Amino acid sequence: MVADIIHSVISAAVPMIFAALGGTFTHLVGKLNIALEGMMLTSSFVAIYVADKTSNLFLSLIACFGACSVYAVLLIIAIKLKANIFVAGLAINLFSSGLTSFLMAHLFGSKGTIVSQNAPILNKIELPVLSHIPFLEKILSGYNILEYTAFVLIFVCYVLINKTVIGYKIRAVGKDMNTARNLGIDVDKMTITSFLLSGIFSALSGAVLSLPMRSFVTGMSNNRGWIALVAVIIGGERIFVVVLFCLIFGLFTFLSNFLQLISKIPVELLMTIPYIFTVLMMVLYAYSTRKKAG
Amino acid sequence: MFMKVNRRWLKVFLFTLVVAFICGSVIILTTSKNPLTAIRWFCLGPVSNTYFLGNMLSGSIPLVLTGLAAVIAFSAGTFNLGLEGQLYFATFCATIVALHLEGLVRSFSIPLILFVAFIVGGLAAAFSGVLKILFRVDELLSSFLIGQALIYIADYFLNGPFRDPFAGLSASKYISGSMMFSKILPPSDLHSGVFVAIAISVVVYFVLRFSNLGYQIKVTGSNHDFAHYGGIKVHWVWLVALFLSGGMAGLGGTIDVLGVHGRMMKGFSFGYGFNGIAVALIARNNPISVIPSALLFSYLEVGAQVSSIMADVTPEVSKIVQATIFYLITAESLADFLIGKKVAAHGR
Amino acid sequence: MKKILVLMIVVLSAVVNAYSVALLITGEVGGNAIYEMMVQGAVRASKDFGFDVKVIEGGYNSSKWEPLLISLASTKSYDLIVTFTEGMPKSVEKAAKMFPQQKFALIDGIAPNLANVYSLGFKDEEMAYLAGYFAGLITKSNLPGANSELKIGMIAGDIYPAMTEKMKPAYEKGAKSADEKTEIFFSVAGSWADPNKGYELAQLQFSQGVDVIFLVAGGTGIGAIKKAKELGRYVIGVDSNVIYLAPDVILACVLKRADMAIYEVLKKAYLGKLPLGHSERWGIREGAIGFTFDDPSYLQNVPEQIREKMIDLFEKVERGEITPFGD
Repeated sequence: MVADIIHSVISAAVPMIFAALGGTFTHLVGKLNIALEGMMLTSSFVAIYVADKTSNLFLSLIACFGACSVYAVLLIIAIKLKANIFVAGLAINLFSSGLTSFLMAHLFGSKGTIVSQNAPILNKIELPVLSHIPFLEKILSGYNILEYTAFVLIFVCYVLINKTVIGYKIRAVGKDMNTARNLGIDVDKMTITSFLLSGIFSALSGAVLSLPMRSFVTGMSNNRGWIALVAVIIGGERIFVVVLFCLIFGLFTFLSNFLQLISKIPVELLMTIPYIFTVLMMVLYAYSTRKKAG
Repeated sequence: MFMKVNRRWLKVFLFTLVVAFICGSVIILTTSKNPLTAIRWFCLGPVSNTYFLGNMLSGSIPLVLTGLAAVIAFSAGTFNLGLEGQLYFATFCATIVALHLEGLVRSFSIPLILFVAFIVGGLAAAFSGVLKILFRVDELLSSFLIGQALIYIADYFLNGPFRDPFAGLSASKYISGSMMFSKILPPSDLHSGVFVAIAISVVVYFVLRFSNLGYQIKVTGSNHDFAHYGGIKVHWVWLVALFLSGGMAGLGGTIDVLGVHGRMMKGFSFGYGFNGIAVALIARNNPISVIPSALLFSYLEVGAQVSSIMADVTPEVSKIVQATIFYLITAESLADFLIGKKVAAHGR
Repeated sequence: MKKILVLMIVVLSAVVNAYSVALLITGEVGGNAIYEMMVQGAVRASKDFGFDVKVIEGGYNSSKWEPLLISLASTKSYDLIVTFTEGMPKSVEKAAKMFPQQKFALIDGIAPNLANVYSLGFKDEEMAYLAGYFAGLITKSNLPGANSELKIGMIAGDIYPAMTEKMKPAYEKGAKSADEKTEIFFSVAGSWADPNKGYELAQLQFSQGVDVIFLVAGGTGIGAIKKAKELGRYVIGVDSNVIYLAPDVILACVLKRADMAIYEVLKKAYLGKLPLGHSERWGIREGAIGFTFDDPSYLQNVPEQIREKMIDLFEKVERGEITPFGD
C-alpha cells in the first residue's frame, strides 16, 4: 500500500519535474520562464497530434521539441527587443491556450477532448533487475518510458549544471552578467542555450502529460507549469531540491485527494492543503537553516 | 526629466501599439470568413457606441487597481504574485460585510465596505511580508501559494454557508442597491467607482513621488542594502508596501462588485491579478500610466467580445490576437528595430 | 471620420433580415459534451428549416455572461436568443425586462415566467438516479471486475449547486435503492480538463475497493477510464454515449439528449409555436433523458438480469411511479 502510494505520487510529479528542470535553466541565467505553462500545453497537444498521425513516439517527441523551441526563440527575441520577459511569458501562455483550441477545432473538428486510437501505447516497463526486491520493486519499477527518462535526466541535469564547462558558464551569466562578459563568456549564447534547453524539457513535460493518456484536453496542463516555477525558485541551482519539492507537492496533493474520500472536510478546504503545507515547509526549512547558521 | 521620459515612452508605446494591432489584424484576416467586418469590430467595437464604451471603461477599473497594487510592490523591490487571491478573498469578506449592512447611509456604508476590503487584502499580502522578514521566505512564492489557498477558501464559503440558495451558481446574495456605486451611461456597466479608481491612482502617484514614505519605498526598491545604511527601516517599508499592495487589490475586486456585479460570484475576478501585474509592467511602473495600460487590456477584452457578437471571431482567435499584442507591447526596441536605428540607439 | 464609420457599422448590422438565432454558450464549447450536442442540434435545426444560427462562447468566467446577454439583446438583430444553465435565470430575467420585444429561451435552467421568455430544464436527478441504481447493481453482481465489497464511486469535475443538490444525492439514492448497504465514494477533481488528475483520483477510489465509478468530469474522466482499463474495473459515462472509447470498461452511459431538446425548441420557435411565458422540465418521460439500452457493447457486457432491472426502473420513472427525491 505504502509502495503503491509512493509510486503514484512519483508518477504524478513527473510532468512537474520535467517542467521544473526546464525552468531551472532559464533561472540559472537570471530569467524566470513564465511561459512554462504554455509550453507544456502546446507540447501536449503537438505530442498527441503527431502521435495520432504517425503512431511514432520518437517523431512525436521531435515535434514537441520543435514546438517548444519556437516558443523559446520567441522568448529570446522578446529579450532582444527589450520586452518585459514576464509580460512576454504571460502572452505565450495566453497564445498557447488559444492556439491549442484553434488547432483542435481545425485539425480534429472538435474543441473539446481528443482521444487518439492511433497513438502509441506507453506500456509500463518492469525492471527485471529489481524484480526480486520486495519494496523497491514496487516503488522503482513499473513506469513508462518517459518517466524513466525523467529519472535519468535529473542526473544528467545535475552533471550538466555542476560538472561541465557549459553549466559553469550558464551559472556565471546568472550570477553577474558583466563579470561573465569580462571573463570572455558569450552571454547571448549562454542565454539562448539555456532557453532552448528549457524548451526541450518543457516539451517533455507536455508529452508526458498527454501521451500516456493518449488524449488531449484543452487546458490539461492545469497550473502544473506554475507549480514547477515555484519549485524552480525554491530550489535555485540545486536540482535535487527542485525535484524534491515537486515530489513533496505531489505528496500533499495525494493527501488532499485521499482525505476527500475518508473525511467529511469540505473539498475546497482540502484543496488548500498542498498550498498551505508548502508555505509551512518553506517556513520550517528557513527556520531550521537559520538556527544552524547561528 | 520625468515628463520627458514619459513623452518618449508614450511615442514608443503608441508605435508599438499600432504594430501590435496590425499583427493582430493579420491573424483575424487569416481566420475569419468576413475579415474586414471582424477586424473593424475588433479594433473599433469598444468605441462604436456608448454601451461598449462604458463597458470598456468599467472593465478597466479593477485592472487599474491591481495594476497599482503591482506598482507599489515593485517600487519597494518586492514581488506580489498573490494579487489574484488577495483580491478574491478581500472582495469576499467585503461582500459579506456589505450583506450585513442593510439600512446604513450610503456615504457611510460604501467607505466602510471599501475599508474592510482594503484591510483584508492588505493583511493577506502583509502576511507574506512577515514571512519574508522573519524567515526570509521569498514573498513571490508565499504570496502566490497563499493566494491560491485563499481562493479555495473563499470558494468554500461561496459554495456553502454564504451561497444564495436561489442562484443557480456559486454566488453570494445580492448586495442592496443602496450600497452600489451609481451608474453612469446606463445601460452600460460604467459606474461612479471609476472616479475612485482615478483618485486612488493620483494619490498613489503623489505618495510614491513626493512623500517621505514614497521616498523610502523607492530607495528600498532600488537597493535595500543602501537604504538600510541610509537609516531606512527596510523591513518596515517592505511590510507597508505589501500591505498597500494587497489593499489595492482588495479595493479592485470590491469596487468591481459594488459597481458591476452586485454580488460575489465564483471566479468573477479570474485574471485580474496576473493582468494587473502585466498592466504595471506595461506602464513601466508608473501609477499614472497604469490607467492607459489598463484601458488597453479592457479595450482588447471588449473588442474580443464585440467581435464575437458581431462577427465570427471565436474566443481562441481573440486569445491569439490578444497574446500577439501583449507579446509586442512591452518590446521597447521594436520601434528602433523596425526603423533600423538599433545600433545607434542602444548598442550593447 | 469616426462618425461615418459608426454609421456604416450601424447600417451593416441592420441588413440582417432572415430568421436568426443566437446561442450564448455559458462556458466554452470545447471540452463540454453538452454544449457540443447543443450546437450540433442547433445547426441541424438551422439546416432543416433554413435559418441562421450564431454561436457565441461566453467563456468560463460567469460574471461575463450577463453583460454578453444584454449586449446580444441590445443588437436587436436576433429573433431568438438562447442561453443555458441554472446560472442564468436571473440574468435572463433582467435582460427580458430590459428588452421586452426580444424573445429569450433558457435551456437547462428555469427562468421566471415572463411573457418573452421560455425555459426548459432537464431532470438531471433522473439521470444520476439511473446511474446510481446501475452502479449499485454492478457492484453487487459477479462480473469479473466487480469485487465482493459494495462500494461505488463518483468523480465530479467541480463543485456547483446542481452537483451538490441534484446529481450527487440522486446518485446516492439510486445506489441505495439497489442495495441499502452500498457505500459511495465521492471525489472532486477541481478541473474538467485534467485527465492526469482523473487517473490519480480513480486509482485512489479503486484502491479503496470501489469497482465502478460514475464520471461527471468531462475530459478529466478520460484518465479515470484509462485507470479502470488498467485495473479491469468499470465506469459509467454521462451526457453522451462514449462507450466506443473503451467498450469493456464503460459499461453504460446515462444520456442527456440536449441536441434533441434544442432542436425541438428551435423548431417550435421558427414555426412560431414556442410557448413563451412558460417553463417545462423534461426527463425520461419526455425523451430528454436516456440510457444506452441499445448499445451492442452494453448488450454484450452487462448480464441480462441487470439489463432487465434497468428497463424496469426506467419504465417506472417514465410512468412517474418512482421519482428520485420521492416528491
